[in-house]
Amino acid sequence: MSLSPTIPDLYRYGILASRAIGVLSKSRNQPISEEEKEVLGESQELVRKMIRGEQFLFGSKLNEMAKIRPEDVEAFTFVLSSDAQVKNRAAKKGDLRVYFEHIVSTLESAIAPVGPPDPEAIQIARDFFARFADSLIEMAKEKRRRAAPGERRLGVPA
Amino acid sequence: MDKSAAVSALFLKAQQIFDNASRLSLLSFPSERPRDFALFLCEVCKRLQDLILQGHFNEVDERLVTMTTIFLVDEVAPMVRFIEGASSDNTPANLVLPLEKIGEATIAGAKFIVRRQWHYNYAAVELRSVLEPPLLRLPAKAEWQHVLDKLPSHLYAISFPYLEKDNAPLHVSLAHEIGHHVAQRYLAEEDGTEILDELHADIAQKITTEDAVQRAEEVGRGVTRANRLRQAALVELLSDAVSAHVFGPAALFALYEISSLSESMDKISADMHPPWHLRIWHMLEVLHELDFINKQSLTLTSWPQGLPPSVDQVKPTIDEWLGNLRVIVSERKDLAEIEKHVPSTCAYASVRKKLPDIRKFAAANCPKPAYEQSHFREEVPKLLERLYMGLPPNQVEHSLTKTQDVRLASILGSAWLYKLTCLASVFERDPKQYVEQVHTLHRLILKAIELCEVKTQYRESERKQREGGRGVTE
Repeated sequence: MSLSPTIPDLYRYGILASRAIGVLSKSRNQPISEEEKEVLGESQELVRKMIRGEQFLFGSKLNEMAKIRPEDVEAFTFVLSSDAQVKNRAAKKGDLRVYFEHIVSTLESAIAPVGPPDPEAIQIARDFFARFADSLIEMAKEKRRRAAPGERRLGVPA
Repeated sequence: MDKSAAVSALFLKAQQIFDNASRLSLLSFPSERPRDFALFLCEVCKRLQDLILQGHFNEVDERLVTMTTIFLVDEVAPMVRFIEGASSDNTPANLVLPLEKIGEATIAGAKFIVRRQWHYNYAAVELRSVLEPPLLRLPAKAEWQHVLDKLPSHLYAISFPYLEKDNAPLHVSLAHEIGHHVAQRYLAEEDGTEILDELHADIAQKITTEDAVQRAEEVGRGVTRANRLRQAALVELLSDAVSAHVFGPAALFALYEISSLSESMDKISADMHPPWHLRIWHMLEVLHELDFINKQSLTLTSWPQGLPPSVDQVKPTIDEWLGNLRVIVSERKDLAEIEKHVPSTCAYASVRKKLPDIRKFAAANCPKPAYEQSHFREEVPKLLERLYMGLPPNQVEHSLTKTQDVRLASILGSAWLYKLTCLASVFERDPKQYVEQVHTLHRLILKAIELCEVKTQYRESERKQREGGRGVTE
């Protein structure tokens, strides 16, 4: 079974993750607009999808889980296959869940700050989205390499 | 490339798409949809350029510029071909309006672009679902929302193989593409958690890897693959059922003709479509339930008695054609192919359980009134008689002054019976004669559809005039 990792909504998540990096790169005294808060909120939901996917594939009590959708499993499988750091953390029991939840709470404090931002936490979240966006750009390029059959050059095998 | 150069390249790409879409909007089209879509693409490009000029891309991460450029080049730019392929020169224009009507009766708020493609296949893509998620994530969301408000809630580009432009009976397959929307609704109503649990349980027990991470990855990929195979199979089989409800036996004849050009009848295709054998078997089940075909004897049901001599050769020919499907129905070589891999085995075990469900869903959600066996029995033999006389099969004539309207499905059904009967005797005659017969048939069918459409439009304008007149009097 040789399958390249894929994710539904490649461009949606590619653009979203790229924007999240931009927002998380803002300096402390630059305000975050409502639209940028929405970007962070949706990025949070994306990481929550990955958490649900992780629970589904590593957890043992499936019936105790929240409703899971196929895209949750796809999002987690994609990040597990394409991000070496995620894979390393998955090998240490519980570490990956803590990592994802840490990113979710970092995004939460960026949306509604209760104190000064934690630059290290922001850097971790930013790095995660940067690796994620890079994988999606690579996937988009890979998609292009597999040209549509209608565009195949005559006489050249696919 | 440094970021400002990348932003300029993005600006240029938007201009190139704008120029092409703008030029193509000047073509002649059988309906307004392709031009509207061309102008929409122009607006997308203009808005993106405005945002660049306003500095929205100055402070962003460079990955956003890269991703937006790839999206523009790989997803938006190829959409220009839908406009070009939908021009009056490239489509059987008489068929476009009736097909749009079938689609619009099936999907509230939906619009259609019917276009030719070079690739030999029928296909459908919902354009809004491709464009909206990325566009709404770009900077200035509210402005993008305003642009997207100009698109219908669903806009389908429905493609037919260019080679078959002048083969009207085969375009029955376009109803299958309209059925995709019904199928997507079925999938959206399913309980995703329950399905994933079922697939997970099945796949996890077949994977023997011990390393926990590797195992999770394999199970994750297996579940994803199985789920996609399952969804693709349900979509195709449900869309076939919709096509059978819309066009009756003609849906089976068209399905078979397309399948005969596939690389394999038994295998799941590279794009995850279910094996043709399964689809033909399932189509026969649907037509049997609708009482068009007897699946045991593989014959057309209730053919009327006392047919004129010009038509009486058709039934035995068609029954013989259907009889040849017995091999497919009895051997089912596709089953062994499906069992070769873990994800496909699990996916199709789940699909099999859902077959009665999807047939019920297709029946409840196909355009109303559905095409019934009684319509076929009453209209098709008389239309066949007209075809054998070289007349367009647009109406049934009871006397010089009394005529009866017929359904599009009966027109295309009679075309298929005529075509298959010609094909059955092709080796006894000059093959050139068959080519000539198919060309003539195509012209007669398009003329019949055009005459029906003119009549419908005339009646509609008469009705409006009457209602308008009454309003003034009142």
